[in-house]
Amino acid sequence: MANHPQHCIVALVDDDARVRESLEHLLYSAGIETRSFTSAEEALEPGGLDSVCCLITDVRMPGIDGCELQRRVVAMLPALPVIFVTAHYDDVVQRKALAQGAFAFLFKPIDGEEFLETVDGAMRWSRNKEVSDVDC
Amino acid sequence: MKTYLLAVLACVIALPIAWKLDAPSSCFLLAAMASSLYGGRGPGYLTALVSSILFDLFFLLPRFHFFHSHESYLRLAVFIAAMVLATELIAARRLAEESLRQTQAKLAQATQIATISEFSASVIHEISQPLSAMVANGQTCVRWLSTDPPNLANAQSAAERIVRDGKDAGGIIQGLRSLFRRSPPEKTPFDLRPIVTEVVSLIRGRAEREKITVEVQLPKDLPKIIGDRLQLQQVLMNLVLNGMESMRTVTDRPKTLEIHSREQDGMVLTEIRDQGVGIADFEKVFDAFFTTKEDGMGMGLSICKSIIEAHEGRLWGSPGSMTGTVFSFAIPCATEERE
Repeated sequence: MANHPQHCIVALVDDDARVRESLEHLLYSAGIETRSFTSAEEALEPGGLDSVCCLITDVRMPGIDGCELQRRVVAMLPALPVIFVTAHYDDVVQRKALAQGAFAFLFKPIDGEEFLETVDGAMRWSRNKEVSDVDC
Repeated sequence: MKTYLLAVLACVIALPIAWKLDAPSSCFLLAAMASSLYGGRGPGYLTALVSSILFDLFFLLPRFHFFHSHESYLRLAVFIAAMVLATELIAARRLAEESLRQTQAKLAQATQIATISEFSASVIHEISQPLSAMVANGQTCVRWLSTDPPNLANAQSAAERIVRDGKDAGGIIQGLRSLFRRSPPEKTPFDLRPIVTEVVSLIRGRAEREKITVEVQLPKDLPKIIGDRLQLQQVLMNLVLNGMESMRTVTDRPKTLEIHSREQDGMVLTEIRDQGVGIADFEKVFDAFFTTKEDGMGMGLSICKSIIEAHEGRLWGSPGSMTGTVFSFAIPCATEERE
């Protein structure tokens, strides 16, 4: 695991408390700071995604779903990698998410180590992107 | 075979009446209609044939001859045409009814399949959530144990979360098991209360997600009812899901779903009360194919109604006191002599 700078936070969006909690602890065990949201609406509130360098979201949620959240986040923060974690094997959703530039699409129950590697990769990718973006 | 015998019998009955009233056309036509109504095209035509012969022998002048005047033949021809037309019309109607019945049966099956697939999707979701959390917690636990020195406190709390989530998943499976338990279709006396509890435990996850409060009121001394446990559980599940569905778009008031049961005049009355968008026409909701849902088939409530009526009970809907809808069903109590 690379050492991540302090200001880098991973945002977690899932309507299921158990899943949220388990992923928070898993990321914490890898020394990654998290910020959890119970819904997409909550994550989209002003300041919600400040200094977030990776967004992890469920697909099926009441209200705004994962795909719509991704669409809005891409419009606001194009450099933010989005990782999907879902229990539903839905090819249409997966294709749409990847077409919208999702960083990864993982199916529940996810493998913890694979998940951490994916998150690590996403964080590095976003850092490199920030370095290469001159206009920020 | 039986219907053909009935056709002949109809002619035999029609003949003396026609003779007495001297009204052969109407009597034989009635016989042909009755035969085709009960037996279809074949018996209808048999009646037409037999009554044509009888008509020819008994009612055309000169009587008991096969050869008559032109007018008589014309009479016979008109009579035969009327009988053929009546038989054909009735047979066509029977065919239409039959195909409608088949379509309804197919649709009921399709609805069941649709319900099952929707149900499986929600079951997969309900079970995969705690399962997913368990895997992540387990791997977190392993990570804390493999640090140097091992972080036992964090590992222990991770292990405790695994146990908790495992119990949750077990509870969901327990609820499903009781729902799919193979039970004989005959009616037995049983207690309604565990059924309500099972249904509530199955929908708990969705209720939490949709911020719906579920309130259950079941008196301890609720008498047993007589019926098919599984079918009544399906009815309750359907009504509860409808209630939750109706509150999906509600944002301006607390979403509560109340399930109350009580004894009333030898029946057990169960009410499912929602604070949803309400229903405009309570006459129509029980019709097959009537639906207010975008992807609904409109079969749920009509199936529910037929199940309840098969239990000698009643199912009806009414507007809630302030908002929403109340669906009520009453099932006879299991009395001593019934058992």
